[in-house]
Amino acid sequence: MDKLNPNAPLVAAAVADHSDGVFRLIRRIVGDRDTALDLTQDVFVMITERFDALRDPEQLKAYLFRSAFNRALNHRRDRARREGKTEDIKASTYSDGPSRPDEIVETMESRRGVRDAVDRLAEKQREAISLKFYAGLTSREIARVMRIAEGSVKVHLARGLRNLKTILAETAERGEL
Amino acid sequence: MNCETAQGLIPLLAADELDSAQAAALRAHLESCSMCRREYDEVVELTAALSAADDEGLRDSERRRMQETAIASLADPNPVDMGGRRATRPMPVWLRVAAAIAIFFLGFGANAWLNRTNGPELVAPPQAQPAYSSPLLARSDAARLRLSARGFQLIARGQAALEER
Repeated sequence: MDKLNPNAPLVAAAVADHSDGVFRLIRRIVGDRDTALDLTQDVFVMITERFDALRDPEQLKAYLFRSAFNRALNHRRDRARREGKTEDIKASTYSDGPSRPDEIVETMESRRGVRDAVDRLAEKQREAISLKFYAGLTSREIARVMRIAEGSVKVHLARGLRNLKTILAETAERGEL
Repeated sequence: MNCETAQGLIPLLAADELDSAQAAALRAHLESCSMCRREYDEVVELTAALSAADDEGLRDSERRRMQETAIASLADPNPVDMGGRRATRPMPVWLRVAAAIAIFFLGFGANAWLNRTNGPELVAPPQAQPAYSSPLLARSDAARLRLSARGFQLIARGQAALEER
């Protein structure tokens, strides 16, 4: 076992190139840093089983981010289920939200507020927004991750941003009551 | 460009997803329309909030540990060819269990089938059976027939020898 596995350099390069982006995406979705570290590690252990993906840089990136997004989302769902959906309740009521409409900006600056608003988007919009702004992928890369056309990614991004703005405005208004 | 078209494109400009011609046309509209300009500013603010990092990314030590753990998970008793694919993969547990169940039922089914072929429905009707009922008798009867045939052969040879003389 002293001999180096021929795939070891590929795995090392995958971690070096993509671990930051994968970690950032997971961290923004799950919130907790330690959990994000564990999930990121899982993603890179999983890639060791996908030698075909390791050899194709585009396929590798798409595989890693798809896997990261799904894992992070599943973790959040499991946690919400365990906690009796407290996260969803917080997202919909937002009792400690801003008290004036001009505090929408503050809501936007509140990471928790923005993350909760992203959670309330439709599935495809949420995925496109997360991959674009949390992981910094281009629309072409997002198209590969989501396995849809690049034009569809742009539609989801545009609708997602518009709906996000509406959700944040509604949240700010509810805080007024 | 009218306001309706501009409103549709504003999120894409804020997300830097418009081609240069569309972006230039939209920017020209934004210069002349304060309402669309305000909308654009709000969406830009939103994208900035989305892109803002929570805190520092991965530390070098964390990245190194990830590399080591991932590479360690590559360790496999099965040989790896230079194409990067494992020459042989261990059979998954579920497949082993499925194979064991399949073999069991195959054996069980074969046994049942064999029993069926020897069963009463395929046994010749009583009238077709020979007079003797025991297989032992049947065997001795066959032996007797063989002996008789041999006897007839010897008799025929004896007769032929006598005729030659």
